[in-house]
Amino acid sequence: MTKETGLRPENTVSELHRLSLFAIVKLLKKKELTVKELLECYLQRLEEDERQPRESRINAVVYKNKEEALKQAANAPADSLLGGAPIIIKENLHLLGYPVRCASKILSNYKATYSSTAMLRLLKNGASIFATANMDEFAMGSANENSMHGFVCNPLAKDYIPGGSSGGPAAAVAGYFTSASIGSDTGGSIRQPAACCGVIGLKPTYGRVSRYGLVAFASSFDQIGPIARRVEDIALLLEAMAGHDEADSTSAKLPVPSYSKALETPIKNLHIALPKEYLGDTVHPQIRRAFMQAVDFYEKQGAKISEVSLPNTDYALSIYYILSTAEASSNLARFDGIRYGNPSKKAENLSDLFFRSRSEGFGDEVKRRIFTGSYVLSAGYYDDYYMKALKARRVVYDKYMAILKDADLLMMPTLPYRVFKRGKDHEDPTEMYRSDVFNVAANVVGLPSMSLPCAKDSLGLPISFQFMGRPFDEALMLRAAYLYQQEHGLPVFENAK
Amino acid sequence: MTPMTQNTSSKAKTPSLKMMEHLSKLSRIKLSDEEKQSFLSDLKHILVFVEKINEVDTENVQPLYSPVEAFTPTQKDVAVALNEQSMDHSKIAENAPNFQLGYFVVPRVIEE
Repeated sequence: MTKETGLRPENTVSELHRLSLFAIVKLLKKKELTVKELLECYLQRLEEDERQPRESRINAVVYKNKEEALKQAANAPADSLLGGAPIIIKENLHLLGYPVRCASKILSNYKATYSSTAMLRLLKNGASIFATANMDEFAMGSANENSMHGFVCNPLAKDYIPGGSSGGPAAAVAGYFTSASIGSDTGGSIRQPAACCGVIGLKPTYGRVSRYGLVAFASSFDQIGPIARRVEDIALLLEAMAGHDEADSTSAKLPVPSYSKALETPIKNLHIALPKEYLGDTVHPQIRRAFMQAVDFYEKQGAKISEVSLPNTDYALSIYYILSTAEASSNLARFDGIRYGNPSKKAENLSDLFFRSRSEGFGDEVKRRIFTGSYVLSAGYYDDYYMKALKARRVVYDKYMAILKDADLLMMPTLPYRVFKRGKDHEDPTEMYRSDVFNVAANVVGLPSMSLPCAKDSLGLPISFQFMGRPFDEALMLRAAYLYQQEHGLPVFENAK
Repeated sequence: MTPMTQNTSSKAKTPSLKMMEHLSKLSRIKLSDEEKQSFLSDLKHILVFVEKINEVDTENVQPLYSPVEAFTPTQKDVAVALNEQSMDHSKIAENAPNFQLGYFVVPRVIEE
């Protein structure tokens, strides 16, 4: 394993894929590397993957566009933040001319007619976007098994899940098909796959990154965020995307700090709170042990550690599944096969067209959530479910804010369970829903949250922890994560030959 | 209590097959008889799963619709391009399954 530094590896071409984004930017600026040779390296690796039999094909990427990426890189402004560096985006983000299928049959013919604000900002900051990544259909899932493109394998162990819904973006980074990628997180969809694949993922504060051009799943939960192998890469990408946007009225009118420059600022008097509900019996002993070692690291670095109680942890999951399905049932009403999408060929009249296009186009998990959302919003149930969940959301919100008055960061394992195998048959859909238990609170409350790997379990699979921070203070989380990376080191997973 | 639910001891109402048919119509998603049973069973599981929310005391609590509560900005009722690409109608037409003479074409709406 070559260390991810700014120096071009001795044994050049064969090791290019291991370069971090930060190192790539440096090398591109020094003209010691070209976007073309890097792209060729990634694309060659992707083609190799495509030749693998289905069971061992990672299948992280679903669309490639070398020519467009080269154009974007050529148009990168001089002295841009990213210098032309190639990255991959999730298939639910609009970039003019690229397919935005959301891994759904209903959008199988759809191409972006405009670009999302976050993608335009990435391009203006010198990114080149050379591929789009697989995902769970409409970002609904935790294992990347609900996709019209087929499942994604975990590059660390091919019969294991890569997590979801940003399973493609996380697997692309872990499999060294790119140095970094962009995902979306509605209830853990960046952090959970990052944790499953042993990479880093950050969900910004709700309102930090414009959602304009992200296909809406649950509008009051969705955020776009970066996935990478190094903390400085996460900082670079967040810096490149964040900030107010007129096209998204929920984006915050707040200045964006230079996250990448803030990383080395020493942290004084850091106070980390450990919610005891996140360390209960459901947490696997190996995960608890690794997590406590990470806590010890921060204590040795001078952080004050305190235990707090967040008795509402379990409720966050109920709130999430009531409100996110309600919002999804409304957001997904637009898919009717008329202005875009994949209309049924068999329709006899207009109403029949709606019914047939949606029945044929949506997968089962999407249907399940639309039904649940329609139920909790329908007459007679609205107050008991939807309104009750909105009120409970404020109760949970107040509790988190109260704790963050005193503590700077909350710290907990990203997943209470070990990464599991693909193809589990679920009699009861809530078995999979429970896998988001430690991730959804950040979305319910809108807080920034970041997951990073800290150890390997007995099978060599990743164990990760996550931070939640104060609203719009992604910088502190990044600095704390950077401290861990620099002073402790991140685990190295030998994989993806 | 509505006819679409069955009475149970728990606070959560148990949806009936009739309710599932109603949801299928509301959602504009056609279901076979087998699918109705299967999605109904899933919905029951999900409702039991979220039932825990009743333990939260929400007396005198205002609903929180979004983590950003500031205000609702208003704007003049005129079309504006949100970015340099978003107003290109020809691209929008390219995505339409059936677009003719500037219109989206749909199957017959009014029966003869």
